[in-house]
Amino acid sequence: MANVTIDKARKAYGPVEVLHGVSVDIRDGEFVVLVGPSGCGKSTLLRMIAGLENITGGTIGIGGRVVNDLAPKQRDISMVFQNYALYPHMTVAENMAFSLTLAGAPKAEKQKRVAEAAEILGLTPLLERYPRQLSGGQRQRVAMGRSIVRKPQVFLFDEPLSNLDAKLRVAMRAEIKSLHRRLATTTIYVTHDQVEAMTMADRIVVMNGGHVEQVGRPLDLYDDPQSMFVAEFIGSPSMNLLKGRFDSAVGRPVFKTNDGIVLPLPGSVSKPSGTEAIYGIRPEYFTIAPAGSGIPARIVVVEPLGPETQVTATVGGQTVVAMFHERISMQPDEIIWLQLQADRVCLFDTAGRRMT
Amino acid sequence: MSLVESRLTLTVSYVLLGLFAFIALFPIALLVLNSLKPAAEIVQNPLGLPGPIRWQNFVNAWNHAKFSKTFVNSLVVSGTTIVLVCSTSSLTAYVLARKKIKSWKIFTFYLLATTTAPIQLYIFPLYFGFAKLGLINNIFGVALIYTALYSPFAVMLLRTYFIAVPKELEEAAIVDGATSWQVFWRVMLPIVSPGILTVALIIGLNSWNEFLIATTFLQKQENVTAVIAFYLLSGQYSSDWGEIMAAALIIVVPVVLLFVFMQKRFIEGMAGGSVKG
Ligand SMILES: Nc1ncnc2c1ncn2[C@@H]1O[C@H](COP(=O)(O)OP(=O)(O)O)[C@@H](O)[C@H]1O
Ligand SMILES: [Mg+2]
Repeated sequence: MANVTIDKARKAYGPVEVLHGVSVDIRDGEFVVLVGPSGCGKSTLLRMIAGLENITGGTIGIGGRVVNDLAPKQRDISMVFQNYALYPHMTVAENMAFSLTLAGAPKAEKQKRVAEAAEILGLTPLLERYPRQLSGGQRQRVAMGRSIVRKPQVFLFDEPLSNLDAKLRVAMRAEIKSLHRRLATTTIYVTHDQVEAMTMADRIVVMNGGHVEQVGRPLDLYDDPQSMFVAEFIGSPSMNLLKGRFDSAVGRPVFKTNDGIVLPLPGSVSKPSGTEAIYGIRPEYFTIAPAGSGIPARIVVVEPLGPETQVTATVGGQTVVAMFHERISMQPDEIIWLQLQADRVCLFDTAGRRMT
Repeated sequence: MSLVESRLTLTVSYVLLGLFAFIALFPIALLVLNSLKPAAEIVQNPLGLPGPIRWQNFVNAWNHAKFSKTFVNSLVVSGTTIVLVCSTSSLTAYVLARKKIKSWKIFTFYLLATTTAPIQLYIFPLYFGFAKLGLINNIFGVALIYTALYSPFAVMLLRTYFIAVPKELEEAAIVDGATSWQVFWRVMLPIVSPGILTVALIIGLNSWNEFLIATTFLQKQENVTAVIAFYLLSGQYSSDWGEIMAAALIIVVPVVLLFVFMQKRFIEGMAGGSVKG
């Protein structure tokens, strides 16, 4: 068990800097997910924690000890790779015991620990098989078993579920989560999939272009994104973002889109008229208004999903997506009148930073 | 297009394959047949079955070619070469596969150039060098030359095997606490073992059959390899063809046995470093 402190960590490959001073504090026993688009530096950061990449600047500490100059094996971490990286010439049991073998653990100890881990992961009947004789999900579990056996301070996962099919992914998600609940080991988990991040994390670190955009609990990020990037990245379908400016022509402060459509603002907002901004509202905060009142939207597609209906429409020239719990039988090109919950609006300045 | 071959195509392929098999096997069958005949009968009727079977050919061949000594020489030379080439080349290939060496292209060119240079080009300087060092008539000296000769090929082949191993496997081992040497010895080497086996077989075969260097550098009767002893049979004892055939068979047997036993793994090895993680 250990906390992990990342303080202004920087990484450069030659002249190219790919991490520009990343700081995150991870508490003991926490499940933290690093999420972001491909190429934003998640794996690089994870590998720096593991000791597989050296640290160009800043410090990384594990359990209160700065590990910048320690070899991976001295950091007491374990890592699960995207392609599992099982040793093909060893059986499942040998794979799992390899770290103990290298450490010179006695045979009885090894057997005991492997048996324990196999029991937890349901691998007991497969211990004598070779990796090539296993399915994708089983290999994934062996890779996790290899981590567990060592009882490390920190588990590191790099997109461990990306190679599995959708159904198995959901199952393994739950399995990893329950494993964490059981072992309560500090876990850092990298993924590009925001759904994985939302469902698994105690806290999410959203990364973008080598920076940390925001750190927070999943629903805090969802409700309260600090930047347009986070607003768009977290949640599916993502937040609607409409360009326009503040206006007070109608006597109270409102938001006018570039096409002149008036949208309500939360009561507390008062910005100088004419200030450009971006108006963010999540699809589920729309409701259907009586015809002739509210915001007129021209329907593009109606997608019934069963429990809800997703409607894509244009408000002026800009596209919005709305989710309704009721079923809707309207056709493309019809006008649907929308209302929205003004207290759920997020406003961003033109640079994409949150205003309110 | 149908995936099932038509009858005609099948027939044609079998006829052709049969023909190739015949071309390949006919000389060997002849060798076996004639090794059991007395010399006179070979000259009279080279294609016929032996009248009385003459096992004495094998005994004569064994004694005259001093196979009890020269065979061991050959085994020692080939064995030493295999061990030296496999150990040095696998280390070299690993480094070349993993470390980003900028001059890798130049190095490849150098390796290729050395493989294409004919032996005749450097055998004389080499001979005088070895003479100075007192390595003439030393079978280990010959193994050393073979090692130098076959290493480029081995490095090039093994490098492709090492490249095919996913990098994560090494990283997993490092995280598991392996030292660089343990990564190489306990993870990489077992995974590329089909490649090493292939290299061992090809090099074993080449050094077993090598003639020019062996005759140049091994001049004492008791130091020569089996192939040279075989060559010396003709003329020396007025060319008893039955005996020569028997000797040829004796020399070929270990090679054939090796290939028969290793066939499956050898083909796996030649098929490339397909390592699945
Ligand atoms: N060994 C390397 N040499 C140069 N650039 C690299 C190297 N590894 C990664 N990068 C670059 O660093 C950035 C972050 O990569 P990575 O951490 O793998 O992203 P991801 O978030 O998809 O895991 C990418 O732009 C990538 O091109
Ligand atoms: Mg990655």
